[in-house]
Amino acid sequence: MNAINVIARSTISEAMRKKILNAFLMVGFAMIVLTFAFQQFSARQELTLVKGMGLGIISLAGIFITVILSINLIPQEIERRTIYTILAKPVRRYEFLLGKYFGALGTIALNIGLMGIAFVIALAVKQIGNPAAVNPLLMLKGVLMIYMQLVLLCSLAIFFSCFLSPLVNFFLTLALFMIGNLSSFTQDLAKTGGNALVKGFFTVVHYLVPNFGNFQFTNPLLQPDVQVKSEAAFLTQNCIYAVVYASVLLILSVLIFDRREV
Amino acid sequence: MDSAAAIDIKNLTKQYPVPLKREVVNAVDNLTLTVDQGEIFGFLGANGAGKTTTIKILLGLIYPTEGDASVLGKPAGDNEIKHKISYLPESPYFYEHLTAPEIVTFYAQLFGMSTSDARKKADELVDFVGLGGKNDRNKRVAEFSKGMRQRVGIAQSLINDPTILFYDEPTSGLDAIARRDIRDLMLELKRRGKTMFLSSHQLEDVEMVCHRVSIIHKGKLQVMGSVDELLAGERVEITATGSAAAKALADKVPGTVEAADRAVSIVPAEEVGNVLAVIQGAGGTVVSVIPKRRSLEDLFVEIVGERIDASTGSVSATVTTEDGPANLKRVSANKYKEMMDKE
Repeated sequence: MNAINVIARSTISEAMRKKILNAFLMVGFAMIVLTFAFQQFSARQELTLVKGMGLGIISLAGIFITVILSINLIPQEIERRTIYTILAKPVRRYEFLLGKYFGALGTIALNIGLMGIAFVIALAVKQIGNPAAVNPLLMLKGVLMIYMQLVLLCSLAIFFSCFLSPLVNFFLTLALFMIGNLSSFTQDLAKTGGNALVKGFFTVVHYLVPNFGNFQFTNPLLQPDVQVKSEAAFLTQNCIYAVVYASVLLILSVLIFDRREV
Repeated sequence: MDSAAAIDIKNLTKQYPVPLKREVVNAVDNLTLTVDQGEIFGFLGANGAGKTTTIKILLGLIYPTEGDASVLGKPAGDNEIKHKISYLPESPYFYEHLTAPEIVTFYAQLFGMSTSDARKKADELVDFVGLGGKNDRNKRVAEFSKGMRQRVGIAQSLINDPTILFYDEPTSGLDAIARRDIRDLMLELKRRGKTMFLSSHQLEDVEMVCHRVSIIHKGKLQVMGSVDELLAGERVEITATGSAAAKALADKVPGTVEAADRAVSIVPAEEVGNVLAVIQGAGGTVVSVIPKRRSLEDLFVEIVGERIDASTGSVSATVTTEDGPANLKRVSANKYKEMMDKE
C-alpha cells in the first residue's frame, strides 16, 4: 500500500504541472465565468442555462483531462525509462499500476473539484436576488456523477494503455465513451435490429461497453419538475456500477501489465 | 542452484521477433555465468551485444525465452530480493520537475521509509554524490547536466545499502572529471565488499575496478575470467615501412593496421620471428619492435573484431592521416589461418 500511495502522490504532483491539463482547467474556469454574460433571458431561464452550461463545461473539460492524462500514464513511464528504476525497487507491478491509477483519479478529482467550487460560487453569485434561486450545493450531485463517469473512463484508458499506443488509445477510448453514452440507442438496436447478426452485435456492444449514459444527472438538476424516483438509490447504484466496472478493468490491466516487457 | 552465488545465469536465451518476418533474433543466446558474492564483475560487449537485455532479465523487467536467472538464490525479479539490490540504468531518467533530494526521497519511500527518514537519507546521499551544494540541491532535474543526473542515479542506487549493484554504463558520456569521480566511487564500493554487475564501454575503468570480466558478442559469451588471466601473454608491437611489406603484413598477420607504406602489427611474443620474416621477405624495413602489455581494449577488439571477421571477412575503417583520409584494413583471422596453413 505504501508504494501505491507514494506513486499516486508523485503522479498527482507531476500531472498538476502539465501545461495541457492546466490549459483545460483554465478554459473550464473561463467558460464558467462566462456564464455571467447571459443577460437577455428571464431569471429562471438564465439560471437553467447557467447550471446546464456549468455542468457541461465541467464534464467536457473533465473528459479531455482524463483521456489525455490516462492514455499517457504508463507509456510515458516506459518511453522516458523512469519505470526501470521504479520497478527495480521493491515495487510490484500491480502497485505501480494502481499507484498511477489512483494518482490519475486524484488529479481528476482536484481538477473537477476546483471547477465544481468555481461553478458553485458563480451560481451562488448569479442567484443573488433571483426568486428562482436553489441551493447551489445541490449542483455537487451532478459534479459527483461526472466524477464517477470519469473514474470509469480513466480505468478504460489505463486498460488500453497496457497494450495500445497513446494515439490509438485516444481515439478508441473516446469512441467507446461516445458509444457508451448512447446506451439506450444500442439497447434499442439490440432489440429491434434487422437480423440476428446485427442484434447479436449490438447486444454485445450494449453489455460490453461501459454505460456512460447512466451518469447523466443534469436534467433533474436543471428542471425542478423532473424528479428521479429514488435519488439516493440512483446515485448509489451508479457509484457502485462505476467502481465494479473500473475494478474489473483494473484487474485485467494488472494481468496484462504483469507480463508486459518494459 | 549455487547458494553462494550472487548471480546465477544458466542457458539464458532471449529472442525477439523480427517485425514483418517469421524470424527471431537472439538478443541473449544460451548465456551461462555465475557471479560470486563480493565480486565486481565486468560485463562487456559492443552496442547491441545483449548486455542491457541480460541486466533487464536479472531485474525482472523483461522475461527470458529460455533458461534460468537467479539473484541471491531467488528467481530474477523476485520482490523480496529487490530490497537487497539496486540498479543504475544507462542514461538514467528521473521526474524532471523534482530536485535531487526530492527524487532520492521518492525512491527511499518506495523502500517503505517514512517521509522524515527518507528525507534524512536523501540529504546524506545527495551530499555523498557531491550534489549537496545549495545551488545543486534546489535545481530541478530538467536543468541537470548528464553528469549530475548520473550522480542522482548513483544516489538512488545506494538508498538501501544494496548487496548487489547493477550498473549499466555508469561512466558513459561523462567528462573526464565526472568519470574519475564515479570510478572512485565504484572503487570505494569494491573496498566495502559490494557485489557489482558492471556493464561498461569504458574498458580502462573495467580493468581497474573488476575482479572478473566477461565479453559477450551477439548475445553469446565469448570469454570469461579474471582480468589477470585474460590479459596474460606478452604482446609485441612491430612497425615496418615499405609498401610491399605493409601489404604483406596486412594480408598475412591479423591485427595489422596498414596505411600508405607503413604497417603496425600487434602480435603475441612467439609470433615475432614469423612477422619479421614476412617483413624481410617483402623487402621492408623494421622501424620498431616494442613489447606491449596487453590491455582489456586489445582483448575486446581482438574478440569482437574476430567475430566480425568471421561473419564479414574483414573489418575496414577510414581514418585521417597527415596525408589525408586513408583506408585501414585488417585481414580476417580465418584468412590468416588459411594462409599460414598453406605455407
